[in-house]
Amino acid sequence: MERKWIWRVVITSFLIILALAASVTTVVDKPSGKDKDPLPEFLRNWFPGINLGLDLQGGLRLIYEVEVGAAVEDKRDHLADAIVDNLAEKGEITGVKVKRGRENNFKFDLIFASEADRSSQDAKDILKDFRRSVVVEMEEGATSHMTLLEGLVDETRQMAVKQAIETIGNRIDELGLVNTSVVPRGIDIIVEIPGIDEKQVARIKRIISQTARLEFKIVDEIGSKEFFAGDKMAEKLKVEKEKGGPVKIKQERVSAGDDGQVISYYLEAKNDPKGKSGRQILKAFLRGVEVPDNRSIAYEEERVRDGAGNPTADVSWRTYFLERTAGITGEYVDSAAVYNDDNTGQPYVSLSFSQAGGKMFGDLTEANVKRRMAIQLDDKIQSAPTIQEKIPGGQARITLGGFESYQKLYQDAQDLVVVLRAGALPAPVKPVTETTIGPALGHDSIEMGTMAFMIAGIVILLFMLMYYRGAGIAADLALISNGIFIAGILGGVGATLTLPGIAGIILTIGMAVDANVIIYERIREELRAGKSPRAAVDAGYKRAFWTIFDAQITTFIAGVVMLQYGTGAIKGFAVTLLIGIVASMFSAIFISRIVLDFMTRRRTENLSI
Amino acid sequence: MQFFKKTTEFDFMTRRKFFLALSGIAVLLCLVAIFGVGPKFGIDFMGGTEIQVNFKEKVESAQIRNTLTKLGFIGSDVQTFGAHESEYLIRLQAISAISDEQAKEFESKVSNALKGNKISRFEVSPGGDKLTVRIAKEIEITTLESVVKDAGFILAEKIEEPVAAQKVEDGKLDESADEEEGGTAKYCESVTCTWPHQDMRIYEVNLKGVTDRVMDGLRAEPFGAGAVKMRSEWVGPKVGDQLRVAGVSSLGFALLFIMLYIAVRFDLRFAPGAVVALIHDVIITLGIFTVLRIDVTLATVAALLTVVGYSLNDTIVVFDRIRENLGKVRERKMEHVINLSINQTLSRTILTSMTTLLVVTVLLTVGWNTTIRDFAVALLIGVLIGTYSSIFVASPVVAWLDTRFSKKKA
Repeated sequence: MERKWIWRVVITSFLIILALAASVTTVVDKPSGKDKDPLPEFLRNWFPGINLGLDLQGGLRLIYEVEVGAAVEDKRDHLADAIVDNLAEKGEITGVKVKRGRENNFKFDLIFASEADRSSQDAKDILKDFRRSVVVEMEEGATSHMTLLEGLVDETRQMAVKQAIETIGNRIDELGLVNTSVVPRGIDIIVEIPGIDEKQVARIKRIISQTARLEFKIVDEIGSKEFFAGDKMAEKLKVEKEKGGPVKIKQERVSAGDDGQVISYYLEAKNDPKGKSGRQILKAFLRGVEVPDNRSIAYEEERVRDGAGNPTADVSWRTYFLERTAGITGEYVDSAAVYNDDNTGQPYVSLSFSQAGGKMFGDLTEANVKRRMAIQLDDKIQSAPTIQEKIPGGQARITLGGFESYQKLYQDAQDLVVVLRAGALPAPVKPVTETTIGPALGHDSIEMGTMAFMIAGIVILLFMLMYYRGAGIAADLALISNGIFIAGILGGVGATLTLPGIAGIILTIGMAVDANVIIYERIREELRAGKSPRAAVDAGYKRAFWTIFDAQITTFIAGVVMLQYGTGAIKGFAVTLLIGIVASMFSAIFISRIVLDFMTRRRTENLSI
Repeated sequence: MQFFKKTTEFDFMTRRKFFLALSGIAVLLCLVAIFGVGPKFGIDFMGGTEIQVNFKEKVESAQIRNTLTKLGFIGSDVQTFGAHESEYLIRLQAISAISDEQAKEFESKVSNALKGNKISRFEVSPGGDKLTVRIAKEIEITTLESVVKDAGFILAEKIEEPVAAQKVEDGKLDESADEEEGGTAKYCESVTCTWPHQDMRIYEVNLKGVTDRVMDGLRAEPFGAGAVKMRSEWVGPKVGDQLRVAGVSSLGFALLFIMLYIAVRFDLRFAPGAVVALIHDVIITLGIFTVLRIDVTLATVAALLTVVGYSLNDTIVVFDRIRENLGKVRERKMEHVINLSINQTLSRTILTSMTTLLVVTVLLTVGWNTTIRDFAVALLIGVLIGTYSSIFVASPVVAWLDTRFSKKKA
């Protein structure tokens, strides 16, 4: 018995010291500037300390503007494509070309093969079907000038903001940030993140503003010849060569499905030592060059190879000439995860498509065997593997392009998983401003709250002493160590504390008090029933244990559900609730018992309770 | 110290129909209040007007909050903006100066007066600070303003200097160097700004609204002399639809799993009692909020969750004793067992409630003038209701289910 008791004291003391060490990093701030940190470095590394949330400490306020114009453009392009498809299928009017308005993103022209086509009854009927979204503004010759209805444009813009907010909210949830607010303001989105360290802020900013449009597009090898090796481009390249510019034309032998082996052309530019990337150079070079309507250009990062074909340290960018319409997009991705390649050791992202997506992917790969398929994320090509055979089963794998360290690649892969799970933004977002803000609760409320918290704590401790006298010491010790444990665990895992979180702590401290009360009332009952102090303590703890267990477990279940399904404030509450329940059960059942066992260690006749 | 020297013998169960009826009526009344009048949702749920104010010197947030309270804006967020404590961001609750009907009426007046100029959109900002009109043809700002005035709007006195937004320098920005949409300049005259949009022009007329009331009130204070409004704008809610759905569904799932646990650990008869008590607590607390016009904010939601946890804990303690006594005394009726169990745990119930109320009282007295008040009031109401419900709602429901159950068996 004695031995067991000593063991319990040793375990408890160890845990309390550990908890104290874990909470000290929160209490002692890291001094800024040259002052020496009073705490050893390993302590700060092991225990990150408690972060305070937006409501308690303030943080960074980032404003993003949703480029709603891009969403309108998207809508217009989809409608234009749908009209052309309908004309061809239903009206058998083919050869219709679309000219997109350069200045007005809500206008486009339909250029029919002939005026007769344009004025045919079929064409009129088909256009009529679209009258709820697009109307004919003017007709001349073989051309119909189309314009999107104002209501549709407004709706598209609003939807873009709404979806962007949802997506950003989802990404933040995927990152596991409990305390971030995302609020709309016109076409702006205000994101507030608690004052966490700069490195993490940088990552959050990158993840928020990534459009994350994932597209699988087939490479047009044959068309690349006409585009990159045509007369117009030759002219531009000649000028470039005379200037000594970095853009060069290259060719490669690739397989192009039924067409067999063909020569494909592309442009390449090395990164400028002054800091301009090859992509920027290529983009600038191609500005003003008209890309055929159903084609697009995208860029991939590459290592420059030396004469012998071995990769060097220099990085360059190259172009791909792609079909404009994606065979399949990230919308159909069901789940994503990061894995390491067994052979190369490089991280890659494995995707599984939804059922519909899996079928689309199967069809796409079947129809394009022995062609290259570019995996494009926003405007960067990650890789462009040649499809060897049909890929059934809806699984795909993305090997990340770029030449950073393993850590960087792994981080990028993880970030890609986050954005793929949360979905793509409906339109790009652009950062506008960045300011620090103070706590939402206000300094006054926080000071008062802290004071109230302390007073309440002291009042409870005194009350327990008064009500239970000797046993009150045990209860007080249990409560104090409960507080230390909660602080220690929160600090140890680097949790973010918010007002709802404090509510969770108050609840668990209440439950810890209650657990003590349940035990002592039970012991008193047993004493009244005539048991000796020792037997009463034993019986009291035994009986009370299951009461406390059931009461706390039901609350624990509620906490787990809130953590799983809830977001934001609810999650913050759930985290502290769960931590608090574990701490309070341990301290009420284990620690107070140590003290009471000590009090009744000899067969005493009296127990002060 | 002890409240009761021996186990009490109050009779809780004979009047159980009375208490159940009382609770039933209270729940009904609260439901009427919640669905009829509707709770007063705070800025977190409804959005509101955000004003950025620059004071000449350092100001305490408490001073600003006091002024706002005097002006009738209770429960506004006041937070420092930027590194210095002389600039603040004030978020006011959703208060619309102009009702929807008024806006409709004004719209028809304005469109009558502007005959020949098709108005394709007419919008009063939710805060009532701005009127946005889209007109196909360009019109004189003075004409528009006089028409708007005649329709019954009160124009702002002047537009305060808008501050150019500070651009973020991000190395990646220059890659998307495409020209901005339209790339058009905004032109302001008097209190109206205008800019082209698609095939029409947008006119934005600044009205006298909440922002001006706040600015006037702040400037009247000694600390606020010379305060400048940097910008004011309507912002959306922190808690969007998605979060609301998540909140409600998480509560639903939590109740379901709790029922399952109780059904397994205790008895099928016990599970509904606990959940009915929880729903009872949430509805009544929310109902009292509605009647007292207390803002529902993220903080009060946290308090509500705390109450649910507290009440659940209370109920389980009583249930546990019932379970224990059922094993001991088989011959007695369920009602008796329940009555005995409530009495046996009564000193614990009172003691725990008292300590909790003690804490809440401290929170209330110390934090009366701060945003903690609503949180503490919610806890106070909830703890009282939660204690009541585990004795007078949860246990009677168990007794009632038991009689139903045994009758059917017989």
